[in-house]
Amino acid sequence: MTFLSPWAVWALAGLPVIVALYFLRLRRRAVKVSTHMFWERAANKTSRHAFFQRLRHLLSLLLHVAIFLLLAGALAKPVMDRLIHDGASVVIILDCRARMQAKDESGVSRFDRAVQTARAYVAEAGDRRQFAMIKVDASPSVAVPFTADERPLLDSLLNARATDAAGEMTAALNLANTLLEARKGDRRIVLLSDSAPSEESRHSLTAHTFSAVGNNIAITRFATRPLPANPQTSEVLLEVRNFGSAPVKTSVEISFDGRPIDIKALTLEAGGRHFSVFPALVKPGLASRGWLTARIEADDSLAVDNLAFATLPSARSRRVLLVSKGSFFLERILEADPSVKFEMLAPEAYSSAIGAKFSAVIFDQFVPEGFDLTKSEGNFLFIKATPFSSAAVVEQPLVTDVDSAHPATRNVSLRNVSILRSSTLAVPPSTEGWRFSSPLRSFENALLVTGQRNAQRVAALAFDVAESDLPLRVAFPLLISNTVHWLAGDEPETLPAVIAGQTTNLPDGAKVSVEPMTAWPRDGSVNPAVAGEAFRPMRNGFYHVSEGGVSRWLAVNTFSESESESKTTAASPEIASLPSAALTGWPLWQWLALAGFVLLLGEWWMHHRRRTE
Amino acid sequence: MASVHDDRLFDSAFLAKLEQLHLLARRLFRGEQRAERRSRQLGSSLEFADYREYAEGDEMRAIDWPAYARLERLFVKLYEQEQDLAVSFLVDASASMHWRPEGAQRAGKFDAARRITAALAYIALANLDRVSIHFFADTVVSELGVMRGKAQFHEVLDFLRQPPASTKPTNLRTSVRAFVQRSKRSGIVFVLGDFFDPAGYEEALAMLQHAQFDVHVIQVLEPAELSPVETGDLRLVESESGASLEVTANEAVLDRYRAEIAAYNAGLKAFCRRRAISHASTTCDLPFEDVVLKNLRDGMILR
Repeated sequence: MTFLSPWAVWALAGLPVIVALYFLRLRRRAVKVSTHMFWERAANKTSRHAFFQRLRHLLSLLLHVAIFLLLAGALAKPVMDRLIHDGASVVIILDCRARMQAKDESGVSRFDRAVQTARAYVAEAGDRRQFAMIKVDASPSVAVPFTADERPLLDSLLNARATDAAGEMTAALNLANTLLEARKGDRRIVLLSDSAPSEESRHSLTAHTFSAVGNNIAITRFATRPLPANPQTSEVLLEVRNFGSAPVKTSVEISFDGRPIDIKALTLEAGGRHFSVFPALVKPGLASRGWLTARIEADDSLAVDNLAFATLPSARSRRVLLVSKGSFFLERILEADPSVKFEMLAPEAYSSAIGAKFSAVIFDQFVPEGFDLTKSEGNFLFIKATPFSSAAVVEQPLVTDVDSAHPATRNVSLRNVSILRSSTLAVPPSTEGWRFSSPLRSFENALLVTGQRNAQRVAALAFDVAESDLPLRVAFPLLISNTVHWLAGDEPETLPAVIAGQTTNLPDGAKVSVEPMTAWPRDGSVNPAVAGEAFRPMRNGFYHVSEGGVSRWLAVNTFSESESESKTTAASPEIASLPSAALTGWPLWQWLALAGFVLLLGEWWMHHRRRTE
Repeated sequence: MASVHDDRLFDSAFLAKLEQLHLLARRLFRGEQRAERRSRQLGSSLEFADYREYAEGDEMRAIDWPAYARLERLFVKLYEQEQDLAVSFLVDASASMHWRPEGAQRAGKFDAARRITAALAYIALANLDRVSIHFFADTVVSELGVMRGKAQFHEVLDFLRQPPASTKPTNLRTSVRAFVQRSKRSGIVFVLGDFFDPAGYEEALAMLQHAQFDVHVIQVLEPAELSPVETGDLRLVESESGASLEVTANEAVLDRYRAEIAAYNAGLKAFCRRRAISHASTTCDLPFEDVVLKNLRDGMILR
């Protein structure tokens, strides 16, 4: 048996009211008499009389309760299962992509209108018509599986928000068709989006499209990168597009850590594009977050693409100690690096206590006496004389392998570098927490060995730079700078660009804030963070990532021309009639109501005609 | 207090009928003043009663000298002395006597009792008897002192027109005891009421007889009391105590009720017969003339 209106079970809450009304009905008619003497004797003459009185009242109450239960059952519309044909199935696809934030002339967003339409459909949920809901942002997902209860559907709509992510509708249609494959009866897809899909659907499709204001200006690209020649200086990439049909004049305000630093006036033709690369005018300090925002002053349909986020690499000063009897090339390189505070020490003056005060220590052809890597603390670069060197010497080794992914050899080109000789380095086994690798090799011989155990790092270069033409190459300062900064614990300075809706893998133990920050906080607060390996932001803004005591900021943007290209489509908000399961035969509620009516007559007959005695 | 308007209660038609009625006393009572009743107390009236032999101390003028001349023995002539009679009325003024069925416009039990009292009092006053009236409920609540002569009948009417505002329940025993204690002389006593006293009437009537009263019981009832017709789920509110009794009245219950009240009334009548107490019973819906001329004569109260 199926109840078509299961909400009627709430009517049972009125049962106490029925009982109360019954007892109120038993209020007797007051009649004045001269004396009770004879009434008492007459009424209590026999116990049989009292017994029938109680029986009559009990029976009458039971009849009242039975009548009420029958009527409540009739309200629930019970139907024998065999009477229901295969129920109709409807999949609602709710577009939650960034484009749905576009507003129409009245200021109402497409998404709000889509939710209103979805509510109207969901109200028709029941055993004769079941609904499922798919939400589409960067990818489609089943928000509510097929259900006859409108409550979870309404709850899902209540919690639904348009995201800042871009995505494709094709995958959503495929998912909806897959859901409907296993269903019987009439099947239909209701699409609530900005435009009708171009591809065919295997099942009936009712597309509701919601219009928006035609003009839109969007920041389609906004990024920073450090200049290779001067990593402390970054350059900024900005692209702005006019998706409207009329030329516009606007301006872009560039802000750093919440403070405006530049305003660029733009004139864009209809469908035009502005592309510019310019140096960042600021250098982040030690306390800086590196927030760089670009904001277009425009009253267009989609606001989410008027604001873009990027980060500038934050500055960190490293203390580096060079233990050497004198190395012209190394001294010049270290002096030229503005991010390094360089000090020099003679080998005989070195002690481990002194080395512990520096971010990195460079031993030039010198290994401290009794040096034990497993017991020492600090980050070290050994040149020529290393703890891993053996007595064997390789004459004129050729650089055959360079690991460009390793931080020490990134962007380093060592092609045709001539090396007079090098020692042979034995790559230690990765034990006791150490992980060793050789990013620079000459065939089977390692020219550079790097090792890392937690935050401690060590590197060993197998040859004397003075016995090669490496100092004459551009690669030399890069190799030394990369190695020193890697030893000092600096992360790669080029931060990955994150697009809303895309999944980014985070290192183990990293924590990322749940909600982005879009405005500079006056109190310097940071949104709460949670740990997770995968990071899939749905909102644009700055996300704080902390990892092993090192924190950085991720900038998330939409940057999707398809989302920003706000098409003006004809709105079709009218609700289509949905298929429903057909019923055959008589529903049971009529019989229940008839039984209740018969009982009502019987109760009246018994109570008012006194047929119990 | 619900009652028929007093002007209609004792209207001129009612008063005109009273002259035709005379009270019949079944016993002779001693009296301090002359009245139209003969007492077996020998006295100085002109009506000869008997002879007896002269005894020392008898008045000389009472000696029947002609008898002495014929029989040569001294005889004294005895005359019956005419005495006045003390006639008391104990009228139940409890709440049950004021009860009337809802919507009834005619006289109720208390009105009927007062009319009967007025009629009997008129007759007594016309016969120069001493009349006193006592309203009672839980005790004697109001009384009219001794009246004598028809000239004082208007005072009787005034008293009857102003009954006490008592709503106390009936206590016949306490009321009779209070009456007996304040009565200086015995005589005729009429007890008028419904006699619906849960404590019973037997002890009270016996107490009156023990005090040498010639007791006459006049039971006044409401027809609706004898045969109620209300059915359904009822909450019966007793007029005297205000107590409620929930009853589902149907024909079976009503039949049992009628049997109960009939047995009660029969018990009262049987008790009176056993104790040589005059008993009359009436209902307040009967015309007054029928009550006085038929019911009271049948009860040997009037001749």
